[in-house]
Amino acid sequence: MAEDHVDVLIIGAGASGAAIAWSLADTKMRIVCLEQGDWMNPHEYPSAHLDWESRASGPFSFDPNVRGRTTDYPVNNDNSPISVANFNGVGGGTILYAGHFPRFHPSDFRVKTLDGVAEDWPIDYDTLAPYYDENDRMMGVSGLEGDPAYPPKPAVMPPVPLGKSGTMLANGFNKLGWHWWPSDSAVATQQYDGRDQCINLGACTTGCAQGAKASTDITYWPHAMRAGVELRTRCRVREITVRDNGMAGGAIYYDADGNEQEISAEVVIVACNGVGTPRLLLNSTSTAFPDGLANSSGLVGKNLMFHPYSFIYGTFDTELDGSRGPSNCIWSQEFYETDLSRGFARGFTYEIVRGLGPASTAASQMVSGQIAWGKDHHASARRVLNQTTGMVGICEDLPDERNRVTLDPELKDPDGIPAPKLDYTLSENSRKMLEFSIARATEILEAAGGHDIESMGPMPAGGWHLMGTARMGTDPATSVVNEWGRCHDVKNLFIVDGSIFVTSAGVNPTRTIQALALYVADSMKQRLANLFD
Amino acid sequence: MSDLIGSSNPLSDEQKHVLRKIAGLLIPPSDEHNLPGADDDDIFANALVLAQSNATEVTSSLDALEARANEREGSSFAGLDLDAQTAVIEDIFGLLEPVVRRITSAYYQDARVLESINLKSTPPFPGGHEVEVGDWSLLDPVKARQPFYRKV
Ligand SMILES: Cc1cc2nc3c(=O)[nH]c(=O)nc-3n(C[C@H](O)[C@H](O)[C@H](O)COP(=O)(O)OP(=O)(O)OC[C@H]3O[C@@H](n4cnc5c(N)ncnc54)[C@H](O)[C@@H]3O)c2cc1C
Ligand code: SF4
Repeated sequence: MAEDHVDVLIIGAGASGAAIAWSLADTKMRIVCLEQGDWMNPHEYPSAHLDWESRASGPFSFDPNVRGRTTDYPVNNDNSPISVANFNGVGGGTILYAGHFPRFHPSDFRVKTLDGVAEDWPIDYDTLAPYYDENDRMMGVSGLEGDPAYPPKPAVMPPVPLGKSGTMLANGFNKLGWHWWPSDSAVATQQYDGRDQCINLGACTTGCAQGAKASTDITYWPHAMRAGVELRTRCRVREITVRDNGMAGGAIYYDADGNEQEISAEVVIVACNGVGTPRLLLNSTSTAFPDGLANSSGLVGKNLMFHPYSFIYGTFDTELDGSRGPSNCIWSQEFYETDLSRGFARGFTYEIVRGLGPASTAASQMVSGQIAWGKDHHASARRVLNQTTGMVGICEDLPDERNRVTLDPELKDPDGIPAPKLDYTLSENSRKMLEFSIARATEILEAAGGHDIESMGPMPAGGWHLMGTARMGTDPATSVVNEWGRCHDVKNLFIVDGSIFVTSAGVNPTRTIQALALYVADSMKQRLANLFD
Repeated sequence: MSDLIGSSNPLSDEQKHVLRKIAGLLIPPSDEHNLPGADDDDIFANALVLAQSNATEVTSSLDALEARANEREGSSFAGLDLDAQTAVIEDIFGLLEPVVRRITSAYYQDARVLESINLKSTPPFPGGHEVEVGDWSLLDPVKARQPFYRKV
């Protein structure tokens, strides 16, 4: 059999894998991407079914341990108050993400200089700005220009609707004189690049049957494949191989039938996310790299960051959006930049959650006692259903080496590859920030006319942002990849997912993950003649 | 729907009977809204489907209910009259969370119920929903603010 050899091997077809595949396609190199999951069929998405809320907590759950597809890998979250949320398939996490699409701020790249915490990034906002713009065009971002919380940035399409819930809370923010703005959203509010416009299904985090939400299976991938990139599904990579000269040689993977296959490559790019990437590197041991590939710093898997989430919601005496409309609505960055008088460093973003579906609202409010059971049930339910709204607080998580991903000694995926194990403790800074975010959100809800306000923080199921486990830096002793994504230890191995984040900022990460992937791709293209020097 | 209650359901017939009784007590029919209770054939069939995933949660709740009924009234739950059954549920409502969640979820995904609370009785897709664009002049005070991101 002829050797399976390619110029560039990409592992993972999610947010970042798709972006770099598309960008590198114009080099005309032979590029193959291996993805453990399947292509999605939009008609299978829950929103095409009446029992969409039940389906969303079964085969489309964002918890891989609940979803348990053969294309998933289990995660041991026992030693973490926050458990991993993801999706494994073409599009990766973007299949289930809400599409909240904020950028980092200039200050996010300079946290050590400005606030004396964590580390500065080796790049800055201005370096990424053109790649943010390019990614915005490829994904199709809706929003409104002029947000005073940000440097000027373009909006590709008009913002998502304010709706009844957004209007209610905007009034609350205005009463307090606090910032709010329509959320930048990876949701097409007009027909865009062959995609239909949003019709307010309201089930974005279960997959968008309309194709309005920018998941990379319908944004980058069709373009990348038309440009010649080959995407192979149901290919689960067990390890990255190493040549005698210490360079990455390719990968060993299991195909759909569970047969072991090998592919060799001149360049290997890992895009498996902040948990999948350290898992793969740690499982890629060899004589040259006994502690895992590219791990001479010992930092592979360390500095795991989530965003601890608070969730605060109240009931109103009038009909609101309920689950109708995109999950995204408006956000507030009133408390984004550091103000030490609040008792913590760094800050957070509020993102308005319009409302939840009737089944999940009724279930949680019956349990909490807000909706009565028995003879008063119907009257009581009618005072709550479609009448709750609130917000999440997305708190910046600071890196801490004790928070880490390792390989579980027992738990394995269906192909026998060790599962990731998390050790994570909520920091005192995060705890204070969560408390503060709950207290201020309560004030906002009250100002808007809400009552029976409930909250939680951290959200135990909210580990959807996975960052920091192979961080970027100029010093090989304190970072895994250099300032353009190349591993310090292995000069033909690149990482482009959330693992390379130095800090987490107080915003959802995907726009930055993809901007970084495009930036790494450009850095590679500019150096093609001497990429490995 | 009844074909969904397969023999693979981990609940015994007795447990199904008790579960159905609880469903009717938690969400009774409503004449005012012309709605069935959660013990309606189709709705309960769906509740049983939901009970199949992570079924041990449900059976432990039912075991706790039986234990309480015996402790309090000296009888199985099924053997009690309506008032006593209501009192037992009241007593251990917190332990019944897995049961409450499944019954409520099944109820509020039924087309008749959705329609009665002004929601579409068909799947969200196709068709979607109307959501008002809103009045963007609400943003005027925010637009009047100077940029407040930190310059570096
Ligand atoms: C419910 C939910 C809501 C979210 N909402 C938002 C939001 O509103 N805004 C936002 O910015 N972010 C959101 N996110 C997070 C967002 O999805 C991720 O930040 C983003 O997808 C990460 O991109 P990535 O390229 O790092 O990895 P992923 O998109 O996770 O892609 C990794 C891919 O690699 C594959 N893979 C992993 N290991 C292997 C292997 N060994 N072999 C082969 N393939 C492998 C996986 O199957 C997966 O497809 C949300 C996530 C979830 C789950
Ligand atoms: S609300 Fe819009 S983006 Fe979200 S699932 Fe529906 S159509 Fe898609």
